[in-house]
Amino acid sequence: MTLKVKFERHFEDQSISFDIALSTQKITAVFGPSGVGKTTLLCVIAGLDNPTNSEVIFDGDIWQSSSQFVTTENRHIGFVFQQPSMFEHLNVEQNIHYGIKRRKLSIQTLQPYLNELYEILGLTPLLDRPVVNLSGGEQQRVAIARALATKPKLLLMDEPLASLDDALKQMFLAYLEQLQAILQVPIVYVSHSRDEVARLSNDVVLIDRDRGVITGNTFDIFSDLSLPLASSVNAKSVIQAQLIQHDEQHHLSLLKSDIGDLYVRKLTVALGSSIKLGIRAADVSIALSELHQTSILNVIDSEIVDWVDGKDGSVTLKLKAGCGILLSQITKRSFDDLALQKGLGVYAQIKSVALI
Amino acid sequence: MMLAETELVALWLTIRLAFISTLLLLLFGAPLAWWLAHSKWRFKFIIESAIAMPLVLPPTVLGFYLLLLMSPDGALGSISRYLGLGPLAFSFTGLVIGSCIYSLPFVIQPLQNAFANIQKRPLEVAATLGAGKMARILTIVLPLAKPGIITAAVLGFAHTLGEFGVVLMIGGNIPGQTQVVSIAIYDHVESMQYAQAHTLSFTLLVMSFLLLILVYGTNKHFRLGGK
Repeated sequence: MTLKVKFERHFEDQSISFDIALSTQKITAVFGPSGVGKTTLLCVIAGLDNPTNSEVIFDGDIWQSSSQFVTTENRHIGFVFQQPSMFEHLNVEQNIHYGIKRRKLSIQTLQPYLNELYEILGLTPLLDRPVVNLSGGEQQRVAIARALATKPKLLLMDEPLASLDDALKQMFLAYLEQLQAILQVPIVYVSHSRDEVARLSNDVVLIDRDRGVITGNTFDIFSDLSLPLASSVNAKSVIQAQLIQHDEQHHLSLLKSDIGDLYVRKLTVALGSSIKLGIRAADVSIALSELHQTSILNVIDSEIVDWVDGKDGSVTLKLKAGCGILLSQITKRSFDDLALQKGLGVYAQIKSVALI
Repeated sequence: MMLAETELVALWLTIRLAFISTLLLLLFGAPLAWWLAHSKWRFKFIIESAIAMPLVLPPTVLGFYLLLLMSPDGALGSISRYLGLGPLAFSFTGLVIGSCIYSLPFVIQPLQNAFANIQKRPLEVAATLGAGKMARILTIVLPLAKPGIITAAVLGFAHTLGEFGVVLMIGGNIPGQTQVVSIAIYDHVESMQYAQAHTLSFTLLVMSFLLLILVYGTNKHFRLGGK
């Protein structure tokens, strides 16, 4: 199953042409500065926007082309906008039931699924409340439940968590991953938060005014030195890992990751859990020989595959470690002093590892 | 205070006239109001001005031109004759047409305001949830515009109740056919029948007041003549 989208977005002095094919088994994040057409992309997919020469093909069905146009209501999608956009004349439950009724689905059959949604989103006590009395965050949770209620074939989300607080954001992200795995519903997720993108997505559509539209695997996009994510001061490596052991005495957990074994502060997740780690490039320093007396727990044997000069006298290194990639940001002076070059074996010292 | 039969006939005729006119205005005015609320046509203001004309024009002027249109040789009169509907001037049908034009702004403006307040987003959300055009109108637009629709209906109704000049010009004063309450009152006063005039006047006064209570009660932010 794939989703193909093609259209052009024009600006005063330039235009960005979108021509992307997304694998629909996964979560695809759309990332880029505001105004480049992230929302437009979603609206084209939804059929709410129909620019000339646009094309949308979902799972072999032509939704949009020069000769065909399937109206929004006939594409079985779910769309969560940045603003909750409540139906103000209906209460919470009626809002959520709206799509089920329009699509002539059975509320009874869906009830167990709906109950689960309510539980996860904390909507159970709110069901018979008028939506106008809810807070912005509560309304957005209703909007999310409303979009998911009909079990859509494709879920489009435009910065849906912008109005939620952090704790709820974390909970919801975990739920969305879980839901995606169960429903196998492809999700296209617009976000400007690196952490959300890193955490959630399998693939990334990166939109950039100068470079246009770049698609790729999340790990690759985050570690590609030619792209803004890896070359910025906030560069971060995204690493897949699994929890294999706890060290109770030292309050540590041992993770097996793509770049090697890592120790982190003791985690509360179950043994065997798959997790994603974020390692800031600035938290990774380089040594040419293995230091035996150091407070740093995680030292990874690696090889320099590439490097790029930063604007502010820093150098970002791309290191190959195990079967993964690790980014390191050091000063230009250290880079020169150590005479670093491509192909050189180095020890990457990781000061801190965070769960994302 | 008791209403005599002729007065009851006039009252019933007035209510019927107001009811039919309001119904027609809501049916045909709603699409027009929707268009006015959402169209980006640059000359839209010309249509809006034309619709607002009855607010400023003396009813006699309006009535005079309607009378010309409805005369057997006038535009409306010829159409009516061609369709075999009989003459329009001095008939109930003629009154309905006149009332619809006379009360047009009172129905269109509240509808237009109500529709303009409905954002595009909820309608787009409804579409993504499977609602077609008709379903979006019935399940989103109309319920959200309900206060505006009630206001439009009551104002249209109440305004038609009080119609005088237009009716006098195009309908005359035929009891049971075109004699509405306001004209009956005028008649009574002319012939010094103050008691009857008072009865009818008071009835109209109470009815109008109750209708306005309904508007202001259902629509707390409503201001006559303002947005």
